[in-house]
Amino acid sequence: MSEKVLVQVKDVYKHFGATKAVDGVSIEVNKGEICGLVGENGSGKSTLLSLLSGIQRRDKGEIILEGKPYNPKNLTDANRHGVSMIVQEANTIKGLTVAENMFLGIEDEFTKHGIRNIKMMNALARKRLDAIGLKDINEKDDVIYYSMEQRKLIELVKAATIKPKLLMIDETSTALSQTGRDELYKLIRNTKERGDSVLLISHDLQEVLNLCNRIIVMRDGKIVSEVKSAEIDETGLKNLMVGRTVSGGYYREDYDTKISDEVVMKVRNLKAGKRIKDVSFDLHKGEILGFGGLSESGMHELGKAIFGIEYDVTGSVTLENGDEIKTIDDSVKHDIGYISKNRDSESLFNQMDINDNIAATCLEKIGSKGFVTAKKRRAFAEEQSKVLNIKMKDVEQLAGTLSGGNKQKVVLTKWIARGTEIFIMDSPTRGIDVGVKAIIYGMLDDLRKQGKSLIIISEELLELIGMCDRIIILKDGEISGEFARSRELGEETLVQCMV
Amino acid sequence: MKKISKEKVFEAVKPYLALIILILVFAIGTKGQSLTTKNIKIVMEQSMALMLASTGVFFVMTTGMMDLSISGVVCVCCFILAKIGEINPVLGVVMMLVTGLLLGLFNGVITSVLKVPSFLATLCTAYICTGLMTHFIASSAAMVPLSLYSFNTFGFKLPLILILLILAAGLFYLRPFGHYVRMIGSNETAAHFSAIKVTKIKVLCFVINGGLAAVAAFLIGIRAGTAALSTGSDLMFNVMVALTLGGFPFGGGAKAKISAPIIGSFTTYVLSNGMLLMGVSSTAMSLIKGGLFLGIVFLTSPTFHRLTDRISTRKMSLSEP
Repeated sequence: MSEKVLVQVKDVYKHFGATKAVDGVSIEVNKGEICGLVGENGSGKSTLLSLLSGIQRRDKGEIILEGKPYNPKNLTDANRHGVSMIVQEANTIKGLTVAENMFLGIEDEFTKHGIRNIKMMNALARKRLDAIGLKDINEKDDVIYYSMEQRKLIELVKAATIKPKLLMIDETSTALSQTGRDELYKLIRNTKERGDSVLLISHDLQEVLNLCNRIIVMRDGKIVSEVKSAEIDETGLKNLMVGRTVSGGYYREDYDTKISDEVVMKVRNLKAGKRIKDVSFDLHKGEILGFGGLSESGMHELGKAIFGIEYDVTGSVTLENGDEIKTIDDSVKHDIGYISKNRDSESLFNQMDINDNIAATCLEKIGSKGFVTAKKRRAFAEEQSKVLNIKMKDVEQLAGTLSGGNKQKVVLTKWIARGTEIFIMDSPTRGIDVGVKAIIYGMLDDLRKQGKSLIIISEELLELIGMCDRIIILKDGEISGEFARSRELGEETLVQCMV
Repeated sequence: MKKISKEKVFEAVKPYLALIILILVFAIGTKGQSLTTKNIKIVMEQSMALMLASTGVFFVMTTGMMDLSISGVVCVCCFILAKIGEINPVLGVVMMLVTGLLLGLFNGVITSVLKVPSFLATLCTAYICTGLMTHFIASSAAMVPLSLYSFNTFGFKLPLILILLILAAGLFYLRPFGHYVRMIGSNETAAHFSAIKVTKIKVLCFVINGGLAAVAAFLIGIRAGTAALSTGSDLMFNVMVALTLGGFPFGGGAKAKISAPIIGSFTTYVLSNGMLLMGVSSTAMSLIKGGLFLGIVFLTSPTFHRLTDRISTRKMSLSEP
């Protein structure tokens, strides 16, 4: 192995059942290099990082760090080898102080004869915080008093503390404001100046082009290409990520479609559980209304609350004809459908045929005089599955054996078959590969053109921007912003509302 | 792909596997005695009550719930048949059916509406039934009205069983109700989100179970002539054995077939009958039944599948370049 290579990933595989998350990947990261890793959701980049950080174990292949085999048992073990990672989700532990979080896993360094020297720990934490200019953060406070952004910064300090040889960053920038991002970039540059390496995952292609020397592109678990950032631009990267020329045919192409004035659903003062505090909005006919926000903003619970799944709901959901929707039964009777974020646990009958899944809400309609024969179900399912071109052997195949994308097609078909008019979809393309995503986007656009109304709840900002007529951002259970469809609408604008 | 059709073939054949194997084993072991018309008729008659009880439990278990109260319910129903039958046999039959349905409703409400775990709740029902019977029957048994003995003929019982089983099968395969039952067993949450009335269907399954248990009690009562504390006591275990031998998927209700309780019940009595003809002692019979039960449950369990999967994937990974 050459002197300048820090870590070598050789032919690594990681499968989760039928999903090939990492499918024969070989890369190298050099010392003193900032290397970008980009790809669509489901391309395998996060899994690859989790293999490097010890969160997951690889199925096959080797990883060599500084000439020696590297098999981290967990994150702390990885830290000991000089590999650290910052992730997108909150990774600080409530109930522990700032200092305790900062030195999580390496408390031994402050422990003598079984007693932890808290004074020393705090002093060191203070020093580190000051070095970055975070004077507002008191190392003795419980992290719970600080905002998401501040907690992320504490994590940054933590990652920098161990002066890692390889600093891995998994989409952290999305949750940060500009000041936060500046701190992050400082950290990245300092790491490089020391002669250490950075592996950066980000959806912000411009950011990646600015910071990185080299960019690796992944798709469907494989490495598609490695390019020098000086030799490519954003569009070029996008094309590599998607696998074909993205000339706008991915999301919707129309921009000046006027939304109908007809209001099909009115939501007023919706309050549900602890997450949703007060949400009101109108849904128009033929409109695609998007909801975005951080994971804890309440947007996922919103979908469930409207459909009738949540229990202690106050406020009202009223339809055009004045009927109020309170239970799942009300929803389905009024042609409202719900497509859950968790397909396998909430939308699919994995041990049953595709037949049975598609017909799940329509059994009474298929039969004559109350009798539904297997033959009728089969015919019904076959007809319906043509709509979305579900890739399967035949309708008698078990739903559980389908790929994620095809499973989602089955769920969508189930509701379309019933004649659903209002679709509430939570993360409709989560964990689905690019090709199928495009098909589903096409389907959603078709539904819109047919006059159906869609609510799309998604953590993928690009998806919301690309597909929706309007985007509502939720923050802490309330609406914090609303944006109309526009060519100029960018992720940063949305993010500012989210954090 | 070959893999799928092999599974499909296996699924179709499963309920009959144990039956065929046992028939062969005993045909040889009893030197053909087990295959006489007379013997076959005896086995069929014996298995009728079990078939009904197993089918009832089948509905409940397909939704993912358990019903361990069968023995108790049968005992109570038989007792009602006897006691009320003293006054009027027809009334006795009617009250017996009502009792079965009410006990089923009781189980249904406690498990599905009040959401008490079915394992515990039905066990308690069994205990309550036993308690009631201990009080009422005291030391002596109650006599089933003589006039009902005339129903204890093959000519009456066979059509009765056939009609009930055909109705059950029709309900399970042809009506939406049956599909909903399997969907609830496959993924209750998804069923709930598809606006399927999960609670109502679960309760109905328990009620059906209660009703079928009552008819089973009828068959047992007119054959035995008395309703004692021991009436139906071995039914619970036999139902489990029957479902196991019939290939009921304990892991998940989606693949449940109604042939499981029916064929399985017949197989259970083929087993008992065969062992009896071969002169096996009753202790040995229990051991063999129990052992067989355990063995088959393990072989059809997910753990075993995982073991065989691991072996075959290891083979696969070894052969990869």
